[in-house]
Amino acid sequence: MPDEVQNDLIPSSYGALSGYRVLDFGWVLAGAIPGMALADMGAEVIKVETRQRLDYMRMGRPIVGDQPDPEQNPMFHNVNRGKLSVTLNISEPEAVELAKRLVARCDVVIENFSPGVMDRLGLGYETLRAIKPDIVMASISSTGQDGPLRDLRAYAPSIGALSGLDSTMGYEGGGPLGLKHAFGDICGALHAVFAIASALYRRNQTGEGCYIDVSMLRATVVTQGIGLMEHALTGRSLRPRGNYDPTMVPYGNYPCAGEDKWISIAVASQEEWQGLVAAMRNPAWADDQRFRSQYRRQRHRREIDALVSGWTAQHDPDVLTDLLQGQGVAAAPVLSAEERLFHPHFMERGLYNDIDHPALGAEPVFNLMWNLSKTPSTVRSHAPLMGQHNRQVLCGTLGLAENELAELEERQVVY
Amino acid sequence: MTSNSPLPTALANLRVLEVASLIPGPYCGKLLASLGATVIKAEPPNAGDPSRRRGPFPDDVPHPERSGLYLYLNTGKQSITLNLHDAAGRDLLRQLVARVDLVIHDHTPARAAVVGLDDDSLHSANPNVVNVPITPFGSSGPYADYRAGHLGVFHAGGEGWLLPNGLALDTFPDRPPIVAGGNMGDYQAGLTAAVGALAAVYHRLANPDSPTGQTVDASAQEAQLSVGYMPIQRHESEGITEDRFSRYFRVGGVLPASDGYVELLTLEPRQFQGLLEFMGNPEWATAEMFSDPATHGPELNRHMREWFGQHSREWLYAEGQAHGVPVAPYYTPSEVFTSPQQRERDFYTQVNHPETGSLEYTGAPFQLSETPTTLDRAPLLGEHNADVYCGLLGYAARDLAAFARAGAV
Repeated sequence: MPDEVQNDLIPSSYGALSGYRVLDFGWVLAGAIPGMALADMGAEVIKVETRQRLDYMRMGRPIVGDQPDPEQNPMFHNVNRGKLSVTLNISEPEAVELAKRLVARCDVVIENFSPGVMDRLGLGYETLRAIKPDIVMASISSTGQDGPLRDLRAYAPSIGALSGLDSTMGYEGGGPLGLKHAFGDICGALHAVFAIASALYRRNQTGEGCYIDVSMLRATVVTQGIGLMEHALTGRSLRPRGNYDPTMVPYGNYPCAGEDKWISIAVASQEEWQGLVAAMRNPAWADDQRFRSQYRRQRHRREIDALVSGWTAQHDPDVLTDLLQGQGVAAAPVLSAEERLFHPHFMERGLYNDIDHPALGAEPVFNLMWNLSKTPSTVRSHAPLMGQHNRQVLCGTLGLAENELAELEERQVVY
Repeated sequence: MTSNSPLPTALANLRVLEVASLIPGPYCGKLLASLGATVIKAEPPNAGDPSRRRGPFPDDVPHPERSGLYLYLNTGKQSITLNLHDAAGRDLLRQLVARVDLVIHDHTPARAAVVGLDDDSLHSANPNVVNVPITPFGSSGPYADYRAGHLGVFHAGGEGWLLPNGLALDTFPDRPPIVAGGNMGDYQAGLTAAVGALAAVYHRLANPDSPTGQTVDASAQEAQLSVGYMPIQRHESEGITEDRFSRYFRVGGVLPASDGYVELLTLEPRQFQGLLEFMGNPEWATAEMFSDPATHGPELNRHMREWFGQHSREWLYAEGQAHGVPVAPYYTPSEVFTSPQQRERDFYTQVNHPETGSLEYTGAPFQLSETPTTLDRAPLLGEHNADVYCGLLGYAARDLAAFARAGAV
C-alpha cells in the first residue's frame, strides 16, 4: 500500500487516486499535464526540477516588475497546480541517488526528457524497477522512445505538420494554414494519463508495474481517424475544406451583430431545417422550390449561406443560440478568449477556480475536463515555488536531517 | 521473445456498455477496448450507429458495414442491437447495466431520462456502476441539453477564434473562423471521459465494501477548450488578447516548398545559427534579426518563402533536421500512411473485416511494456446478440428470437 501522505495541501482523501505518490520529472507542457491531472485526482505529486536547467514553462516575460522571475508564468501555474516542488540538480550523482530513494516511495514516475536521457542519468526503467518492482513509469516524447524519428527536433507545430492534422486546416480549395497551438502536447499528455490509469488498474489486480511509452505524434495521428480511413477505403486524401460539410446545409459560421462576432450553425435533417425557418420567423424565401429538400439545398448552398447570413448579422450570437436551440437546431456561439472565461455556462459549471499565487495573486485555473460526482477532482494548492517542499519531502518523506539538507543545498545538489 | 499463451491485457477484467454514436463516446470505448476491456456496444436495431452511414465507403457506395468512421471507432468491440424506445428494451438495458462496470453514453440529461440512462435509473440497476455521459456541453449548466456536432463544439470551445492564422492573415482577412480537420474536440472528449472513467473505477477498487457508483461528466466543449487554454491565461494574467489576427508566427510558420509546404519554428539561438547555415548564410539574414522577430519577421519571412520555395519538402526536412532546425513537412493524411519514415515500430496493423477485406489501421498511441494493446475489427451490427443476451444474460435462443420479433432487439 502507498505510504501515508503528510503535506500542507488540501486533504485529498476523497480523490479517486488519493494515497498514491508520483515522482514527476515532466516539464514544459506535455510533461506537466499528466502530473497535474493525477494531483487534481488526489495523488501526491512531487515535481523534480532544478535551477541548473529551468523548466521552460517557468520562463517568460515578467508580469510584476521588470526582472525575469521563475515564479511568474501563469501557464506554469496552471499545469503545475497542486504539486510539491523539490529542487534536485540531477546532473549531480548525489541528486540522482536522492531521486532513486524517492522512487522507492512512489507509485508512478513521469518524464518527458529526450529519449535516452533518463537512461544516461541512471534513472531508466530497469534501474527504477530494481528499486521499486511495481513502479509504473511513463515516458512522453514527440515520436516515441525508438524508431527512425526518435531524435527528431520538433515543437508542437511540427507534430501538427507530420501528423496530417495541419494539412486539413484551411479554407476549401486552399493550402494548409496550420494551427498555432500545442495540440500534440495536450493530446499526448492525456493519452499518457489514460495509460497510467490503466496500468494502475492492472497493478491493483496483479501487483505488477510496467513501463509506458507515449508518442505525441501517434496520439495526434490516432485522433485523425477519418482522414486515415479516407485513404484506406477510397485512396483519396482529405484536403482543407474550411467549415464545409458535404452532408449539411446550412453549415458553418455566420456573421453576427458586433465586431468579429459569429455563430456556428449545423443543419442536417428536414426537422432541423424547419426549426431554422421557424426561428427566422418563416421568411418568404424559405418556401422557394430551390430549398425544398436536403438535396436541393445542397445544390443551392451558397444562396442559403447568403440568406442566413443576412438574418444572423442583425442579432447577438448568444441570443441566436438560445433561439435556435429552442427550435432544435445545433447552434453555438464562436467564443473568444475572454468569452470563454466568463460565459454563463462555464460560470454555472464552475469551470474555473480562482487560485491565489504568492507572486501574482488570484488567477483563474482551469479545472480538469472531467468531473467525478463522488470523488471530485480539486485544485489543492497553487503551483509550487521552486524548492518550496524540499524540507517536507527530503526531510519528511526521505528522513534527511536538517543539517544534511542544508549541506546539500550549499553544494547545489539540492538546487 | 514471444510466448505462446497470450499475456493478459491491462483492462482484461473490465466490462463496459457503450450506448453512444459517432465519435466522442465510441472513442472512449475504443481506448478501453485497446487495453483489453470487454466493450459491448448497444446500437439501435436496423440502422445502428449513425456513423455506419457517414462513410467514407469503398467505391463511394454506402453500406452499413463498410463505413470508415464506424470501422475506425469501433475496433475491438462487441455489437448488440437494443431498442431503448421500447419497454422490453429498457428492461434488457437494466439487466446489462447490472453486469457491467462502466456505462458510456452520449445522452444529454433530458434524453437520458427518457431512455433510462440517467443516474437514478443506472444506479438503481447497479449501485456500483460508473455512469459516463459524454455530451456536447456537459450534463449541467444552461447548455446541458443543447445540441452540437463538432463544428459547434470546436467554435464554442474557442479554438475557431484563433483560426486560421499565419498565412491566412495576408490572404483571407475577411473570412470566418474555421475548424481544424479531423474532429479533434470529439476525440478529446472521448479521451478525457476515458481518464475520468478509469479514475472512478479505481475509486471502486479501493473501496470494495461500499456502493461506489458515480457519474463522470464529460463535456466536448470543455475538452476542446482545454486544448487552447493558453490564450485564456494570457488574456487574464497578461492582458494580451489573442485572436486569429494577432496569433501567428512572427518568423516561419507555414512556408512553401517546391512541392508542398513545410512548417518551421525556431526559438533557440543555436537553432537560429543552424538555420543560417542551412540556408547557406544568406546576406539578407543574421542571428540578431532572428532574435528580434517583431521587427524583422516580415522581411525574413519574405526572403525565406522565396528560398524555401526552391527546394522540395523532403530535402528541406532532411537537411534542416541535419542542421538542428525544427522543420517538418506538411503531410496529408494519406502521406502519414505512406511515408516510409513514419512506417515504424509496428504502428500500422492490417485488420481483416468480412465486408471490406484487410485494411491498415493505426495502433494505439501508447505501448505498455508488460501487456499488449489489441486491435480487432469492428463488429457487424448485432453480431454479438447471442453472446451477450444468451451468454451473459442467460436467455435461451427462443427468448432472443421473441425479443427480436417484439422489436426490443
